[in-house]
Amino acid sequence: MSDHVTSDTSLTPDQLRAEKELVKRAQHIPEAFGELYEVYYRRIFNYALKRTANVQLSLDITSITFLKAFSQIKKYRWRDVPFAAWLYRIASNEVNDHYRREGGKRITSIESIADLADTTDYIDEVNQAEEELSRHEEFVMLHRKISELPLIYQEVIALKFFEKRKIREMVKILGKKEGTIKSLLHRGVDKLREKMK
Amino acid sequence: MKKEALIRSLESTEIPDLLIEGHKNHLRKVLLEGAYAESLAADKGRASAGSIFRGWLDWLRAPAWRMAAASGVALFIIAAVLSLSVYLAAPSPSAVAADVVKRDPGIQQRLNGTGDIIIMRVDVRDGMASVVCGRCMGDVIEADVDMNVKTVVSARRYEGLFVPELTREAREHALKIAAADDRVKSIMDRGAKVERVFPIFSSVSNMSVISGSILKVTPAGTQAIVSMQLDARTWLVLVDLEEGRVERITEPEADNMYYYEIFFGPQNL
Repeated sequence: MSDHVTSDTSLTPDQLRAEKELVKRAQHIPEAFGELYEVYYRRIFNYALKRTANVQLSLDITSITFLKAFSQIKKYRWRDVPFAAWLYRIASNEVNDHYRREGGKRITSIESIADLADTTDYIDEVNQAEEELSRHEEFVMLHRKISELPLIYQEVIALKFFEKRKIREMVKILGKKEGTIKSLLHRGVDKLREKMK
Repeated sequence: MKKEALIRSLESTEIPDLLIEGHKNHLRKVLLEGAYAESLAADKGRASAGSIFRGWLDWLRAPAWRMAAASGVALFIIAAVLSLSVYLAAPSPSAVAADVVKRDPGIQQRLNGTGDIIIMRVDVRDGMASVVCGRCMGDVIEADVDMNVKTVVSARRYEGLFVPELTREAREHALKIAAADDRVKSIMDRGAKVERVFPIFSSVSNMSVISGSILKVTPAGTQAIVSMQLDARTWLVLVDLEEGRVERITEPEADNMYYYEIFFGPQNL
């Protein structure tokens, strides 16, 4: 794995070139995809956690995100945008889909998820993570209020404040214009403020 | 909370940074050592065979073509959905004719009886519809509807008593209620058989079977009579369909036969 590649969506030109080469290799060599996976697994899992405040659900979303990325990597077209932006977008869509069909089934859009649903091998880790999450009361409370907002506001607030993404990075992740994202953030915070009253 | 304070709170909220190593390793194994890795390798082998197809795809991916194709498909789907909606939403000619008759003030005024207008038959032919309708316990009207202008153009009234039949569900419900009554069971044990089940409506059902006086006003269709027969004798079981109970049973010896005659005449006894 090249030292140039980091899990940030904002890369220097050299890092971007290195990542481009790695993605190109990953389109044909599973091991190269494994390098990308090592870089981005933790980032995507924690992004899902910030969006859902649910460990098990975040694991499912992470699984789906990488399964989709892996199965679609051959079709991925490099557009001088960090690979992370694509993964974030897949994860975001999965979270949004989950909330849209909430009350229904858990995520099962890819059959292989059944292989991953068995958490017996790492159930202790999951329990510990849930305990750790519950200790962050302020985040859990804020998340509860944020989850009452429309999905698009949830998305921009999570990326901006929890994921600490810059606006130009959010442009790459969400595929929206800078002005649109600023406006969504402004309205989202206003709506959240109303919910907090 | 002020907006600035909320933003500060959002920015400073401590968020856990977690890692489930077991899941990470498991997912990695599924991805890189399982069927996904094999399918990726297989795709590589098929790369040359698929080059012509990919060439076509690349050609279609050109922005102008992609937009034109997407727009065309979208327009086609919208047109298809609209056509289907119009087709499905349009009422049938029979329904239109029935609706014209039901809404016609002249028909409403001329129909006696109680309750809503019930359509008994609709026959649409050559731009005209013949609609037979009536109200409960009233006369029957046959109306002619001009389907082009959707208007009742003529109507004929036939004197008589229109008694709608019970629905199958209501009939089964009435029989179930009667069968659960101990007195009815006793009569059945003696060998009596159910002869028929028929509805009873307000103007009659509220009449005392002994004196003929009006007892109370009951909405139409909430009561039924189950008649049971053994040899030449007939029992009438008055069933309240809403309350789910037998209201009364008239014995063959009782002086109440005119009650039955109102509906069917002495020849039915």
